[in-house]
Amino acid sequence: MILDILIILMMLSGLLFFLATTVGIIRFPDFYSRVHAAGKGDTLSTTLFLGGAILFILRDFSGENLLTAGKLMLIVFYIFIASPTATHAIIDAGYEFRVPYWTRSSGKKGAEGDESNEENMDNGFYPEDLKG
Amino acid sequence: MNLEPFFIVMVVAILFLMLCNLYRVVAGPTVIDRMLGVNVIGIKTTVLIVLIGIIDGRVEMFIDITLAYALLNFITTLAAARFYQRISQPAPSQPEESLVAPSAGPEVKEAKAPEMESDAGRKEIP
Repeated sequence: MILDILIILMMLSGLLFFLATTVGIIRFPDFYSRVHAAGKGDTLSTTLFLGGAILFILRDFSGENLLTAGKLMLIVFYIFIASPTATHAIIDAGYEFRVPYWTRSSGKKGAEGDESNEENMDNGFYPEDLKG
Repeated sequence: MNLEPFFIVMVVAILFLMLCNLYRVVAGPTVIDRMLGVNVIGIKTTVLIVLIGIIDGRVEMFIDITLAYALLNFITTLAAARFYQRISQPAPSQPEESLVAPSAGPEVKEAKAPEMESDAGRKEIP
């Protein structure tokens, strides 16, 4: 009973982090901030979901279930390493691709992906707006 | 306590969130945004397959599929990221000697040779 409540709690918190990731990916104005939302939320929520699955599998204990839970732990460990690495690779490609970044002035001028935003592309990475 | 309805609700909720993420894949201003959306959907899919396996009652079979899917998703993202990183940089005019691997030496020379011949052939035609 307590184990069931723990499983439900872990999965609901994982769903909450998935929801935060989705809202961040849809709502953030900039590619870099979107990566920030995706890289952190997905890793933790996947860990929470699969942790709940491990607890559910180990509820009726046997040798075969122990093997399955071990495989799930391997998946959790792999995702915990691979997901930040993939996020880092994506943001490195975006930095080399010179994706325009969001500033206060570009936010005032227009929406994301606007052509007025592309003025920022050839500047230095830190514009004067962010310093002041 | 029967947890199966709870898992079904979780699967439906994750599917709905994946559908919301699809907006970024379709309407992303740049290619990199679309790559990010696809990566996030792939990570959600690993969780989805495990939950479907639990509902189906054969988790030990679905675990292997999940592991393969996670590996494939990671490798795909890395390959696409490296591809766009290379496409955005200007190609070097002459490859340096130190950048070419020793095992790849003859192949590079062979690759260069037909270009020279074709250039010579073009000059001879007129």
